[in-house]
Amino acid sequence: MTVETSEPGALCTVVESAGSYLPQTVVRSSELERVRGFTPGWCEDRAGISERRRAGPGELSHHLGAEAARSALAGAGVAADEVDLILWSSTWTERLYPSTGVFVKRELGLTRTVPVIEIRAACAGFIAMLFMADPLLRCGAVRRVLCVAGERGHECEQNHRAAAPLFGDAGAAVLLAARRHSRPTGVLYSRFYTAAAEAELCVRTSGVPNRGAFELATASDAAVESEPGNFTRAHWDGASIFRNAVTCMGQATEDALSALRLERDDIDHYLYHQANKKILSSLCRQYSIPASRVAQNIDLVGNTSSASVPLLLARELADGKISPGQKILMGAFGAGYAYGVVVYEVPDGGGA
Amino acid sequence: MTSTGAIQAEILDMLREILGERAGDVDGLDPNAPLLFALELDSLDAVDVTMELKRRYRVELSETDTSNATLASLAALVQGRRAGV
Repeated sequence: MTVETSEPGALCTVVESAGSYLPQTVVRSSELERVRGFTPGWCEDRAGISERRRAGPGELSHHLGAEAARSALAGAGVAADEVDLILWSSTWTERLYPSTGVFVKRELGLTRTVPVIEIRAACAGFIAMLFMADPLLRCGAVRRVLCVAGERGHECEQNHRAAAPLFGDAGAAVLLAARRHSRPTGVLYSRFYTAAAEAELCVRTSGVPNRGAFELATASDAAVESEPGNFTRAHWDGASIFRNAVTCMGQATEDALSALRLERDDIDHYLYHQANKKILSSLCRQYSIPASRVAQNIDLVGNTSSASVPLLLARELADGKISPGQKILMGAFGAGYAYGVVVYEVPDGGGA
Repeated sequence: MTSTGAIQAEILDMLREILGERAGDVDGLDPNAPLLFALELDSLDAVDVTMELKRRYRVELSETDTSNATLASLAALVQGRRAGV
């Protein structure tokens, strides 16, 4: 399904604010390589990561998300009770049920029975949230949507040694609102795709809750987790992920530009999911995307899964790099394979 | 038809682009040395090189073709595939 541009004078989806939260603890690649027995320089060479953040034992994914959500609400001067819908994404979800987003809502002190919906699209979760929120805002069903991502990527240390250094912990949130404008602006285009043919090549299965819940769990849960065969398992096929990430994000970008009749240089900022610096380089080279307009933060935070794109957006906004009238293309790719692209025009009056 | 030597030169240019700051590593590369090993490229680089060759020459290649190749053998393989051999 493609969401096309708004009618003139119609409701538009605008970003009111973006917030982020990074845990205080910095883990440098050199330290991780030494402790875990990797070749010195492996993280830099393999993925372009020099450091990442690590959440503490009591700092769960919903805490990371809630901190970012508070920041987003404060940035817009909006009270939590003014939000009509919370969308939540976490690749490293704490519990099979209830949705971890419920705990974000509780942390924010929302007393109204505002719905919380968990979007499960792995690293593409933020784009999926925008894709879901945009039509709801533009048709007037809701006035404000808070999209929140909380990621404890270091969870994978327990079951995938080779991939563990690639992931970082972070929270990110974007507050969306419906605003009337005289011409289409804000979210101009959103499209989300799922290509399931290679779904087994990027998988995490759950026999018991992950470490987040495990830390709160009972001794009997610990006994279950310690039994061989009962660990949560992960499998990543790096070649398949690389190939598909480049092709899917590249093709989705071309689809978006073609639908909006835009050239590559008409986009001021490209915010792509930060999985690996090599994927970004290959994407730029193979799809002629101007590398100077592609924002990056992977060197300092690693792969923060579905928090990576909103984290970039929050940083670019905070640094004053985004101006009214500019266009931003956001794209992400994750397990599934799930992927998508959103094109956003910064409104001239109001909104980020 | 482009000669194998010309394809070798094009592949070297492509590798310089992929290597970025390490582009100088390509200079003096032995055409008969295992390509990825000589340039200290990993399995993800092999995927990148393969995708780039497929895009530029519009030929079918697998990562296995690239991973085990020398510059000379890769150029010959690309030329052969282009000729439908």
